[in-house]
Amino acid sequence: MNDPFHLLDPDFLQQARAMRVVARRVAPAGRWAEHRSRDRGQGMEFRDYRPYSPGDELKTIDWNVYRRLGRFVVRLFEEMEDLPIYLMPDLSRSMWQEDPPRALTAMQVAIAFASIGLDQHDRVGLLPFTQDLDTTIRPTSGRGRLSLIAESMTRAAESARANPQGTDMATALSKLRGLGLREGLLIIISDFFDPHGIEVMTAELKRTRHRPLLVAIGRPSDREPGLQGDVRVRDCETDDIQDVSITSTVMEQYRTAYDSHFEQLRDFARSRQGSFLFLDHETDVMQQLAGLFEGGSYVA
Amino acid sequence: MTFTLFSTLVTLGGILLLGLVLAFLQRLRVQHREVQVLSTLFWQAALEETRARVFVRRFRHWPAWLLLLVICTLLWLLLAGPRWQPLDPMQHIVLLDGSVTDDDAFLIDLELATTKAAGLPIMQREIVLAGPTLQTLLAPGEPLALTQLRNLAEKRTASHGIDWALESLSSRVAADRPVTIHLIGDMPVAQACVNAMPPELSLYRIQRPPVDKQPMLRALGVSDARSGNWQSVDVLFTPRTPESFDLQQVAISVDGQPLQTPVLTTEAGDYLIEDLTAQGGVLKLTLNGRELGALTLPRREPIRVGFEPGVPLELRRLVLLDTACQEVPSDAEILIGESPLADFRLSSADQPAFQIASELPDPQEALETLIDQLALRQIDATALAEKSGALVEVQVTSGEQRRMSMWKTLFTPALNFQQSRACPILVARSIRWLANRPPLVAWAEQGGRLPAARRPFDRALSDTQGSNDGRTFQVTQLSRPIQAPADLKASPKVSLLAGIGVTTWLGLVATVLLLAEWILFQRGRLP
Repeated sequence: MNDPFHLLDPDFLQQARAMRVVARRVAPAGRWAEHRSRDRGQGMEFRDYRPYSPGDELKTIDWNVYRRLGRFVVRLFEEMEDLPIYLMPDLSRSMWQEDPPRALTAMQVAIAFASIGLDQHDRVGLLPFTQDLDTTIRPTSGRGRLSLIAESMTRAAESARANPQGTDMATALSKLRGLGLREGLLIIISDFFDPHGIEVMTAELKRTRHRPLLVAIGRPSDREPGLQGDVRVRDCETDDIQDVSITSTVMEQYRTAYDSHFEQLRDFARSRQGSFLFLDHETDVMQQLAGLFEGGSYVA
Repeated sequence: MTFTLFSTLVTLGGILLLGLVLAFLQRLRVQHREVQVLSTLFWQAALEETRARVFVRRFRHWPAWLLLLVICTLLWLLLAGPRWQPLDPMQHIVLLDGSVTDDDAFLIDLELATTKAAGLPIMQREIVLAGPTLQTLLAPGEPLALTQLRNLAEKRTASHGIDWALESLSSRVAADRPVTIHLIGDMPVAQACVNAMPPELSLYRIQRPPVDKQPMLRALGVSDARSGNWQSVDVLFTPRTPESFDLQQVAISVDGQPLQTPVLTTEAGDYLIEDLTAQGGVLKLTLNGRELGALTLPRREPIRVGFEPGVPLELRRLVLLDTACQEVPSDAEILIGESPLADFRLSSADQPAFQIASELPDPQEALETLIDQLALRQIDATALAEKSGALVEVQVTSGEQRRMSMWKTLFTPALNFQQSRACPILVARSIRWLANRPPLVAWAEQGGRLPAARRPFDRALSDTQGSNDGRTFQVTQLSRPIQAPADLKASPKVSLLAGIGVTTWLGLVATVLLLAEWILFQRGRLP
């Protein structure tokens, strides 16, 4: 398989396999897997009783209760199902501006979570986005499908790099909502430099049913750009220009705006019982991801 | 406020022009360097936050422009030479006594005057030196540093008292222009002078702290030697307190060598040293190592006289008897003879008896001067006319060189002029006049700096003084007898802030603003 981005690096994947994603409780109607489901069914762990109703299997009736109380009740067991993991790597123009590109880090994070999810029989969906959501890659499961996901991601990345586009996360999320996917873990891996602003982004995120894990890819120079004097800054995606006379006051305001931007993302993730992780593009990805997996597990 | 260098219109126009130029420069100044960034999101947010202080959107550096405009306006106003209109019309004159010869005392006086002037309104203060004339050291509106500069540049001069200076300054007083004079030093002012001052004039004294002890000599002078020796002089000195003056304690030296000549005492209590060689030596009087006084003796060289053949023997003898004259075979200063080249020419009887060519342009004035200077008046012209049978005439003309001619027959037995009392006087004075040797003067010229005045004397005035034998000495008064002085009030103290002019304030504010701009620029608060 052609792997120009070295996504299937054995050492990297070996480290990823040591991690697990544990769902507090997954949505019903999933396939059998390792996560507790809100479904009551044939599992091993007793969960509750309910009155018998016609059609229930007789083997589920708790006869001890009948002897004591004279009533028919059936025993309910916890169902173990899969956790859908939806990976949304940002492949917009801003993710390709540097060398190495941030998109590479985004893909490494995505492949790491894909590896983790497939290893624990979860269903993994790859949904790269720029101005729009790429829905051409079908969600899949099974340990052997990692190379398929890597291949799809490589294809999408090469296409995005060849034809760079801006970022419109709100449109992508809106389209995601329209897919009617089963509730799961939504992992957005992006620089979150959406020209439409943080408010539009979070407003659209609120409408999704998925539990968010926001992985921001940045670098220290984003906050301290080291510019001086009179500068005309040009947005790499929109070509918007902004004339700035760099003063300590302006820099202070810039840093405040930057910090506020990511603080809002963090607050949003927390409000949705999700997580926010800031990944330094210039530091080893796996080491930083390990911080998210306390004791080797990430509780989604 | 008025502007002394620019008109108000030019000043305001200049400010307007400066504003426009600065605005233009501000626009030129903003040349943005383009940088591609991942997102302009945060820059927009940062500028939105800072935009609250921006007045006009297109011109983004108003505060910086205003600061620069204020600084430039202040500097421009400084160039325009602004002056406040004074509320109080009082003019202050700090009066320095120019007769002070002690450098230390005068420097103290100058420092006192400068300090006083510093506390007076800059447009209403003046420092005046009372020398032979009133000399302004600091005019109204001028910076104090000029006082020192003028004092260094101008030769300080002596004066005769201070009363005349006060009378002269009194003329500046008017009903709407009162004047306050702050007199520096201890020069006494006559009560009559104070009484005569107009009511609009106030007089205060700024007392100088004592500099040194009182001088022991009151006068020190020199005259022609009573012996008549041309190359000698007599020296006279007068102690300040004759009763306590012990001559035995005083060491007298000439050029460092102890004086061998005896010191005579006059009836008036003065002391006289006779026949000191007039070779320019420095005579010094010291008491226990302390110098009482010193003077430079005159330098008198003999007059070189040459004789042409045919000069009457009587005249030749007469000339050579004069100790001022020395016969030389060549290179004579004064040539005596009958040729046209002779300075002292012996003429024939058909010429006027005395012909004098003077460098003075007015012959009549020259005649009036020379008739006494050359002792012509002492000649018995009637007797000469009778003996010669001709009119004895004195003719004075103007010429580039001094020349003199007289009848040769004056020195023949027929006229027997050489036997008259006036003859040797006439000849001696004529030769001195022809040689242009100045008369003996005091070693300090009137109105000039006293070259030999030393520290013990607080002031020195050229004067003449008669001795008991009728001679007149050119002396220097080393200290004036204290007359009954008026009791002047001490000059009131003034605030130093009053002496700071609007120019200084403008300069200070401009400096502070420039400093602030520099700090703001260093901290990145200015674009």
